[in-house]
Parts: sequence; C-alpha cells; structure tokens
Amino acid sequence: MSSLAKKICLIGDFGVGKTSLVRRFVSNIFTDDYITTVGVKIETKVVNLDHENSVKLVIWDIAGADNLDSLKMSYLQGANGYLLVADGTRRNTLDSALVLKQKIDSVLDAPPYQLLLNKVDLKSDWELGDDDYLMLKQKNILYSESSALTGSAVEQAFEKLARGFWQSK
Amino acid sequence: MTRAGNPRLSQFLSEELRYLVLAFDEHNQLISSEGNAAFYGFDTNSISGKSADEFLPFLTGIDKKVTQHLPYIEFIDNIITDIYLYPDASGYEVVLLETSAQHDAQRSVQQQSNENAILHYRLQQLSERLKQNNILLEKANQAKSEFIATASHELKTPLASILGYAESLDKYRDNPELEQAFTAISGNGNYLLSLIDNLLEQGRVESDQVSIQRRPSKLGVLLDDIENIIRPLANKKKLSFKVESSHNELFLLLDEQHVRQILINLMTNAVKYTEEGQVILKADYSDGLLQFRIVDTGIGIPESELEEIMLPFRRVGGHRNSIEGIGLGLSVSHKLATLMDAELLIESKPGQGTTAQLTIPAEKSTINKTGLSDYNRNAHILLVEDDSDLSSLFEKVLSEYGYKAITVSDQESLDQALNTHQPEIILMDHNVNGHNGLDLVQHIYKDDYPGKVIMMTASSDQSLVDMALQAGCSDFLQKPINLNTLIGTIQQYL
Repeated sequence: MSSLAKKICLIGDFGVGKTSLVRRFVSNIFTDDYITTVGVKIETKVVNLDHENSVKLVIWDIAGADNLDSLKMSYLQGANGYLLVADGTRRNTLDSALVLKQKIDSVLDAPPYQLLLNKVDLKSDWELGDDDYLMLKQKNILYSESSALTGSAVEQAFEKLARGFWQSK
Repeated sequence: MTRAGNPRLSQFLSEELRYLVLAFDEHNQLISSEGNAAFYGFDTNSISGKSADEFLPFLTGIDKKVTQHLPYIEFIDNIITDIYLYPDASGYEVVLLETSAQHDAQRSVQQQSNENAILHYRLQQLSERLKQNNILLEKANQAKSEFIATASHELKTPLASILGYAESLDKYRDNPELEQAFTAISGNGNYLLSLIDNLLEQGRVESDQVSIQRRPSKLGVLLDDIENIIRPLANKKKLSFKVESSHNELFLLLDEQHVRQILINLMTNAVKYTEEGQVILKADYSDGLLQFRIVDTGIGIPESELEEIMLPFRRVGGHRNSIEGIGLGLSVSHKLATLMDAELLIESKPGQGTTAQLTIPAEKSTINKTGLSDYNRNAHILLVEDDSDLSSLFEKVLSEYGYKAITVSDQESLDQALNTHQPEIILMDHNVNGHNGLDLVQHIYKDDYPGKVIMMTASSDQSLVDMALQAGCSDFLQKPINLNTLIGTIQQYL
C-alpha cells in the first residue's frame, strides 16, 4: 500500500458552493443553508485509486472572494492543486474564477486544477451560455458542471486531481 | 518549567486562552507540548513522538522554515484557531490559539455583506431581464400594431367600397329586386364590418391604442345610420323595430365612430337574442348627458352571467352555438364606453328581455350646419386615392352634391392637379401606391397650399390621427366612410 498526502484548495467567489462541494465529497451530505466561510476549513479524505494506492487529500476550503489578497495567498502556499469553482447561476462568478486562476498561476507556477461550474441542479436559473462555453474552449479551460445537491461531478473532480498527483509523483 | 514560569499561571492561561504550543524536531516528530491539548481533542500521551502531519493536517505542504501566521483555521470541527509557526535551529514550534469568538463576529458581518451582494446581483440581473423583456414586449406590441394597421387596411378598404356603393344604391330601393340585393349587401357588409371593428378594437384596447376623437355629430344622422343597419336585421326576424328620439337636430361633440360601434353592437345583440316581440332604440339628451336605451323582448341574461358577458369571447350560456357571433361586442363596447367616460349598464331577466343603457357625457356643438344645399357648391375636391373603386364612388357621390371631384394617385399628377384646379379641399388617402400620405401632406403645405386636407385611412392606428393633425391635416376620416359623414365633414371646411 502506497499513499501520498497532497494539499488542495477550493477557490472561487463567495456563495458559489465550495463548502457544500467539500461536504458532499467528504461526508456525502448537503444542506441548503448558506453559511459564509471566514478563514479556512480544513478537511481530509483518502482517495483510493486502486487496491494498492491512495492519495490523502488535505482540502483547504478557503473563504470566497473575487480576488486574492496576501492573506489568501498565504493559505494557498504549498497547494499541490486546486478546485476552481464558479456558480452557473451567477455569471459574474465565472469572471471572478478566471481572475483568481490567473493570479494563482502567476504565483504558484500553474498547479493542476479542475474548474467546476456549480449548481447545475438549478439549470433553469443558469446564466452561462454558448458565449461562455466558447470562451472557455478558446482558453483551453476544461470544466465540469457540478452539483453539491445531487453530487453530480463532485467526486470525479477530486479524484481527477488525486490521480493527477499520483501520476506525476 | 513552563513558558509562563509558573505552573498555576500556565494552567490559567491555557484554560482561558485555549492555547497549545507544540514543538517539533527537524523530522517533524513532536518533542514537547504545552497548553490546553484536551481542548483540541489531543491526548498528550498519544500524540507524543507522532509526526506532525498525522494530527496537524494543515502542515501538509507548508514551508516550515518560514515564520507563518494563518488566522481563522478550522481543522477540528467547530474550533477556530489562529495558527503560528516559528522555525528554530532544531525544528519548529506550532502555536494554536483559539479565536472562535472573533471568527464568529467577523463571520456575522461577512455573512450579511455576502448575502447583500448576492441579493444585489440577483436584483440587477432581474432588472436587466425585465428591461430585455420590456424591449421584447414593445417589439411584439409594435408588430401587433403594425399587423392591426395592415389588417385594417386590407379588410376595410374593400368593405368601404362595397358599403359605399351599396349606400349609393339607396335611391333605387323602390325596385323590389334591388331592394333585396341592397338589403343583403348592406346588412351582411355592415355585419362583417362590425365583426372586423370589434376584433381590431379588442386588439387596440388591449394595447392602449384607442384614443377618443370628439367632433360635432348630428344625432339624427347617427340614429339614421344605426336604423339603416339594424332595420334589415330586425325585418328578417319579423321583429318590431323602433327608433325614438326628440333630439334629432342636436349637434353634439361625440366620438361618433365609437358611439356608432357600441350602438351597433348593442342593437345587433338585441336583435340576435330576440325571437319575437320588439327592439327599441331610445335616445334622450339632458344636462349634458346623451342617453341611449336599447330595450328588447328577448331571451334575457341570467344574473349570474351579467358580469361575465362583459369579458372577451363570452356569450350567454346555452346559445353559444345556435346564435352567430364571436362574443366580442359587449366586451369592446364596455371598454370603449369606459374610455369615453360613458356608463354602460345592462339590466336583464331571463325570459323578460334586456335593457342596455349607454350614458355619454356630450357637450352641445357650436357648429350647427343642417342643410346640405347651403354650402359652397362647385368647389373643387381633389381625391388622392389609389383604389379605383373607392375613388369612382367618391367622385360619383361628390358630383351628386355638386362638387367637382378630381382623382390623382401619385405625386406628379397631384402637383399638376394643384396647379390646374386649385382645389379647396384635398381628401388624402393615407397609403397611396406605397407612398405615405403624410409625406404628401407635408409636400403640399411646403408649397403654401391654402386649402384644407382631410386624411382618410382604413388603418386603426390612432397615433396616425395625431401625426395627420401635426402634418397640417384639418380632419381625419376612418374608412369605411359613411357618405353623410364625408359630405358633412367637407362642408365644415368650405
């Protein structure tokens, strides 16, 4: 049995569902209440890649913001990867996510990431459209549409990061 | 020895401040601890000698050779700590200091701020969507208006011709064969016109496009028109039909077109729903109020349906299929009456007939022209009209009244006619071979035309009235134009 411990961060504007995604992934629960994160909530979960190998993810759920100040950058130090989260029902949070990505890439040497367009269960309120998807494609940014409510694409996003760490160890 | 120097002081501080100091060697092994380990759920014995990463997950990835301060870290459920890391020669120390109270206070403020920001965003988006929807609605409304205008023109222009010619045949009524043909053409034409008017008016009322145009109207002429339209229908059903008025000579300021439409609707209903007996139209005027009462001996309306029949497409129950109509007459009449500040009341009992009462505020007109013969005969009337049937009809009628009527259908011949005939009045169609009649009016007045222009149109677009008056027109007639109204209007300006 071989195991790695890797730090990953959840980054995105406030209210996009970062804490809910972590709760869904770690505890498999969802609550609809919005409780603002201040500072960081740290969770761990071991992702078993196969019978032999696993990765222990140390997950930093960082308070949401549309920019990264020096404090938030200090939370990010040593991160091996990150989940970039936007709320598909608020178009502006995708813009924020892309700004955050640019900042992280410039400071942390472009660590691996997964972009989640979250709250896909609220598709009727979805504000992202063809122009946004085209823009992401043009920037070569892969994304998944996720839902902490239904669990859609949540585990896969964390696992992808974990597998990536293992393959590049 | 403790850092505080005094074991009791150290205990007091660790309990009050809930701090924990953990010292690690360069291999991340715990060397010593001091403070309130139990508060953080640690058993000092069990973590002794353990690797830092095993019980302090936040150290994963952290550079332990650099002094750190990480505020508000929750790595144990519901316990918020500030974390300090101090490197030293033999390893590093980690200090945990509970900051739940400060964290909760800050979170309360942040929560409010975030919720407000999200709400603000949602409101902005909603406002933007409403604006977009409004633009779409305005476009749809515009399209609807254009459709109504086009439909008005296309449907009413041929009807204007049919009804006008039928009216001009009135003098041949003595011939029984022609009388039957005249009655059929006139009755069905007028019925078709009332259906079209109601349909178009319903659309215009819904989009607030109806404006009320009051002009001098002779009550007797209006009642004659109604009688001419309704009597054939009543005769067909062998109903007694009477029009009673002692004010036929009165000139009142009325929106004659809409009053006529309401009366035709009410009278048509009265005839339709009466199988035997009589239909009476009574007109009375006193104290600035013009009152029409339409009394029938028909099937009546149940009380429970009296309100409902004022709604569009509703008809008296049980007769929806047996009696012709589309159920718009009363609804449109009610709305038009409201727009005219008039009151429309329906009283009815099943089996005992119905009385409809229309009360309209109407001032007496200062214009009281009565005879047709007193006016400036031999005047030149220039018709700008591309419908040859209509222009022939108008020429025929105008010549019967002694006027010299000339028809043109393009700008060039219009210019020539203006020079040659110097007409006192121009009857201008709104749509002449694809040209906008308003442009032609402006063109005419640019050359200081001294006479009057009366705009004619089959369009129901009321904004056209304002535009026509702004362009310099003296009056506005809506097709199909009642020939008496045409002559009366011309005489006003001669």
